[in-house]
Amino acid sequence: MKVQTRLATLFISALSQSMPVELMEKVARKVIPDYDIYERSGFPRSIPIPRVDAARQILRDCVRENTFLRLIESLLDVHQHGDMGREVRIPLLSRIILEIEGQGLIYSKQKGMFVEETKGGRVRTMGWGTLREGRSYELALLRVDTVGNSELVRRYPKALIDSTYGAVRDIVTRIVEKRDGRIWNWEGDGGLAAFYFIDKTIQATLCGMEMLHELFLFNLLGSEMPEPLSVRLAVHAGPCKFVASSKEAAGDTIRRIELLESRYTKPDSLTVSPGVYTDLGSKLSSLFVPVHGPGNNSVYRYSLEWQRK
Amino acid sequence: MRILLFANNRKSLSKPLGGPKGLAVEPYPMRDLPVIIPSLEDGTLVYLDLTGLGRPRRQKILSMIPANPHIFFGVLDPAGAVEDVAGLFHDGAVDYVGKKMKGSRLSAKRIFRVLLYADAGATEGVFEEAPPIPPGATSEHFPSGDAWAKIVSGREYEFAILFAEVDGSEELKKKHEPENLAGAMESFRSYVERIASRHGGRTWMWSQFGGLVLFPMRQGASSAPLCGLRLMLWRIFYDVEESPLPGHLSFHLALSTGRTVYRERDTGEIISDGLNSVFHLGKRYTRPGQFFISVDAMGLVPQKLRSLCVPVGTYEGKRIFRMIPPRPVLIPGEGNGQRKA
Repeated sequence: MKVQTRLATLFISALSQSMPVELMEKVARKVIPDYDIYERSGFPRSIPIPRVDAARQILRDCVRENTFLRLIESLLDVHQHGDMGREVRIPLLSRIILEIEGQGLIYSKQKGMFVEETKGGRVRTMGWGTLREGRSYELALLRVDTVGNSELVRRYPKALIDSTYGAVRDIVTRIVEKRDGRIWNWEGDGGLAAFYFIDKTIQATLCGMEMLHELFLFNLLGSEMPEPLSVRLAVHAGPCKFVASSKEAAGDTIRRIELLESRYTKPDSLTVSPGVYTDLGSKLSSLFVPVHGPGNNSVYRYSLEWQRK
Repeated sequence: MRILLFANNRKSLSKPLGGPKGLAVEPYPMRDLPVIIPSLEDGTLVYLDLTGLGRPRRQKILSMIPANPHIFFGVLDPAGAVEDVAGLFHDGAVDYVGKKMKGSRLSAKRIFRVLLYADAGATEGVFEEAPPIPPGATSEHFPSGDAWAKIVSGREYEFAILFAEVDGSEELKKKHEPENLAGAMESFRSYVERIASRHGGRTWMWSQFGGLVLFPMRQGASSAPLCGLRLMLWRIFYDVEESPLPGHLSFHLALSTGRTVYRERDTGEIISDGLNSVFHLGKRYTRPGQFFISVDAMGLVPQKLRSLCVPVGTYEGKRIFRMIPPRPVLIPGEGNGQRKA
């Protein structure tokens, strides 16, 4: 992110007016591990660093290492919760937030971080405006695949297939974005969505379940296809490298979710991995049934059935 | 509902509208538009005064219209600077006051017509008195039409009426503290209200454990059956995401049609066979966790949804049906379907 002169001035003033150099260093270590203000600034350890110089040095280092937003988030955390039981009042934070929000980000108190502003027609980015290219993050992934795609493509006119798949994609996008997820990849008959924030496994799972419910209504009322469309859905969570070009997304977590969806998921059902299942809580997990998974492990299935009278 | 005016010139801001009684307009400087828009509730009416704005700024401001479909936009353009006026309406605008209307003011009557055009269903709170009776309506009974904006308080209409009630209320009273239970029932009402409003329905005559939802009807059509189906299908999401109770909440629904006088408040003295009938169907006949539909309301059920309905007997001499949506597959013995509240 761009740190313009006004924002830099506000930051240096806020930091130098509110805390000693030791605390500044401690805050900087939250975003740059092992941060050493003396080493970075070249000041001899025997001489106390003036607060303004220390703040300026931290700013310079965080901008260079692209961790400025994380630094402000840490400052907000210190401002709200103090340090080791001691209250720390940091002035000018509201103006700093306003400056950052001028660049299309918004501070979410709930998430404790800056995320992209999505209201007012702004474009949603794959990384929520906060993930950094090439870094690894703990994510929950939802994979969607249309059952019998090749058959359907052979059997029906292209226009019908395009409109049906387009409608399905619209449904998935709406459900995913409603729960703060992002579509990372979509290729005609299916794709991959990612979830990053708090309760990400629950949100991904609810998305998959809601997709089955929406698809039921779509097949009944909205679809022009003579036969109902079926999907397989899977949710898995784990470390995943963020790459803006989603087609290059790879790694163990992605391989596992592909396997979970293609080999262990029946049509019109959602399968979640054991790690995801344990996150669900009793109300949600009671709706899943254990089924045979890889090795001797169980995976967990959600599906709908017609009620008997 | 709120009406906001955004303008660059002070004259517009100081005297935004004609000032009829009961019509409040909040003036704001144009620079605050991007900040305020995201915080506005659905259905807010926003006027944009383009006076004195250059083309790039004008275009930027007008781009807010398609980007915010939940808000109704009107455009004031006394200089006639907008080239494609029809395009504004294609983008979702609901009013345009152009060069030829220069000097004329936005009257309360115009605002009301704008809201009718927008199909806002949101004229309440704008006017102190009800709008005039629609021309051509001569009897005491009006077809309720497809929008709430056309319904006048104190008159009788034919509605689709959905009864919704939580199951096992006595059991719930024993198990939960009154305050906790009150909060849980309020959340149930919010759930019904939210889904009903998407289908054009409004909750009405509500007690602690349930009440009625009214849907206007036009030529025997209403989305009330679809609303009922969605309430049943989405209840597990309500349970997991909204309900403060530890267990799964069960409720039942009954749908019928009937005539009633419509009043927002003071409903205690309303006497209506239609209301009595749906109350009895919901309270006495409908089983826990199920959705019953009277034969009169079956006419509202779209053909494609009829495959979900089965006859379940008679009520007051007429056939009744049950709509059966799919349910989650659970482990045998875990109490599929009807869970205890």
